[in-house]
Amino acid sequence: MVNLPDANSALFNYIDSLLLDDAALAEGRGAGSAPGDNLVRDDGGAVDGADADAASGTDILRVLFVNVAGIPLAIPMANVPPMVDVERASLKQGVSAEGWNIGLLSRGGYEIGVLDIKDIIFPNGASAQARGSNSKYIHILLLENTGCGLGCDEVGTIVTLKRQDIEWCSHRKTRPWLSGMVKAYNRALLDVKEIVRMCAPKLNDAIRNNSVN
Amino acid sequence: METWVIANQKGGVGKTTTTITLGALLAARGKRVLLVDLDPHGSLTAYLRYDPDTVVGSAYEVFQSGGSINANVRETGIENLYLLPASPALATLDRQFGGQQGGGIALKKALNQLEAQVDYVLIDCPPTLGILMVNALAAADFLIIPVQTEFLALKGLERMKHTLSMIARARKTSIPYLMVPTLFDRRTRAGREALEMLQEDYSENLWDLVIPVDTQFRDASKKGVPLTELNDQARGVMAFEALLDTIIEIRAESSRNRDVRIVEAEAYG
Repeated sequence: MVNLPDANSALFNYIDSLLLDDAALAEGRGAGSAPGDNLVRDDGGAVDGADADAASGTDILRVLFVNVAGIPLAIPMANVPPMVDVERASLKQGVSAEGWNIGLLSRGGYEIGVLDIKDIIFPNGASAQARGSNSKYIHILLLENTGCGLGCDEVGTIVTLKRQDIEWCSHRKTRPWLSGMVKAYNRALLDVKEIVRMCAPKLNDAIRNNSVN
Repeated sequence: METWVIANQKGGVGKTTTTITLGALLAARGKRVLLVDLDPHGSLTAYLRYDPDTVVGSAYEVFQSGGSINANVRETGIENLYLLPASPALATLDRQFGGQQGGGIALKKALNQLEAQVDYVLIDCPPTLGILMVNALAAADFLIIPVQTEFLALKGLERMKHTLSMIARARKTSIPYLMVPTLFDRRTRAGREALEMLQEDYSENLWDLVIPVDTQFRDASKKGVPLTELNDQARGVMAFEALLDTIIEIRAESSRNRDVRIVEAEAYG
């Protein structure tokens, strides 16, 4: 059986993807910039509802469920972001550093830096088995206002949570990307802003190197 | 150029009759009108005496890479009224495009080519949610939802409203729309009750008049001409005249409000 998103998400994702135009993608990369100048914002940008820390001060948080290497995760998202499904092999490979597999997705004249979430949550040197086998396809969530995309294996639905539904992390030194745990669903809640901040230099290197070549 | 879409996720509610009659009335008022048949069944195409199974050059070609809309537009024999015919091949687009990014705005981009050539584009939609309906709604400046005054037809309205809300989320702007009670037969209790239900549940976007059942529409379709050409005083035609006046007023009001907002925005920097 195929693991399908719920009917509403399936319909919305279908429509949203169909209506995504070059301008929208360009907007996601930062409107007004020329290709090549359009780098990932290293301040983490202003992802739509994705600031878990800010959300921790509010009562309501909307999260998108995704799966990576069989691990259930939750990403703070006010709305389902634009999404691209591609074969992993079709992503141009940029520089690889710290074991991170950085891909470049060409859209509307821009290069979008794509980071597989798997590379972030597994520490360097984790076995291939622990990291899970690479599926042929990767779902890329295009993060508006950041200029980058996050890759995952499966995309589920958006769920509205209350502040008390999350066990917030108090110490973030070892896993700065982890905001907390969604208790009822036993899912790790990612800090997208922090992830973008961590990855921006690597993604920008990849974009710059690619535009030089 | 204004693009009006005629859609409902229920068949047999009067979409094609609405499209052709409004188009013919606009053409009679001196407006240059393009009718677009996006329904693979090709009812509008067949109505205007083109065979959708054999027509060479159709809306399908517009979706092909680099496809031109101008090359596929046909005369209808009525001054100012043109047709972009349907082809059964339109039904294959969902499979060919899948959920391909941007596949939902191909028609909007193509219609932009006609900006200086036509005043109105009226799109007759298929009754199913798929790439064709998404394309139509993406191009829409205004949506007309014909609703048959019959209980089962009312159920389809909720589905249409749900689709509209999702399109609005994806477009990040809503589509103004008007629901139009059609095929109203005041002699039947079921018709009167369905109209009352419509008025109770959807008063906000419901046209306050109705399009009555008029057998002359059937006669006109047999002859392959809009009813306006056969009898411009038919009660069905008079009702569509009133509908057209209402829509033009709504659009003018919307345009005035937009102008006011622009002036206000400029005034406040």
